[in-house]
Amino acid sequence: MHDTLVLPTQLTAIDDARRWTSDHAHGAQFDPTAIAEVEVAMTEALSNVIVHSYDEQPGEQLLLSLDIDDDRLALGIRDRGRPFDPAQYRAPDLDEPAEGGYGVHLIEALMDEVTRRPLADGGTLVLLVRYRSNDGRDRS
Amino acid sequence: MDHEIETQDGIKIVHLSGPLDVSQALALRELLGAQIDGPGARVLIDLSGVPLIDSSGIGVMVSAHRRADGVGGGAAFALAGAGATVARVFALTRTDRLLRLYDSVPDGVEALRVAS
Repeated sequence: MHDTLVLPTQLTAIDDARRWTSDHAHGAQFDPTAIAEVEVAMTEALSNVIVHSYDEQPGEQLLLSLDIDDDRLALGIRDRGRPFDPAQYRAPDLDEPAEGGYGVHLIEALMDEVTRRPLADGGTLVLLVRYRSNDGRDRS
Repeated sequence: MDHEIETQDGIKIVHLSGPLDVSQALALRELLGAQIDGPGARVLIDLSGVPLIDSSGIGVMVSAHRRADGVGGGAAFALAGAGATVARVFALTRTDRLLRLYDSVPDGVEALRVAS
């Protein structure tokens, strides 16, 4: 299946995106554990974009794409906000529990592939992929 | 996020329901902060109705844990009933090593009762 969703740059809209993804994934018989983990990862990815690329300013739009086939689920998030700067990213020190800062770590731990690439229009595409063969039971 | 609060043997049990994500973090922080209201406060968070927690929600729980530790005389803060996905997020962030997590609300109540 393939579908797209236009999402406003508001944190309260993330719930709509989760429901949209979950409904399609359940309909495509994706593993329920994997779906729940994809929901966590997409929550982190969307909140990162809305908070860091748009400074939580409403009125802009994100374009989400969802593709689910026999092998995998692929969620694309296109934005035209300020690009993510990898040089500014600091991985969390997991030996020192913190009051935040785990977003990118969780995305990478819960998804099988995470790619981020600039688009010709100046925007950014973040692609999150989870394979059906990974139902979550063997991941550490 | 919705919540209900009940008191059992002096232990405040906060039953949460719905996703604990960035859009709920401020309300959650205020809710938990209001429960950890002084020395001897014992607060148990029931996560059995929470399908999802994100980095922001984890941060609020770590903050509440530290707030309880910092209360003069010591307050107690614990969580119970996390489902598989929520437990996995605690594990992936290794905050399960800091937070007091119990399998069920009765287990958590018993632990806080013994600790009093």
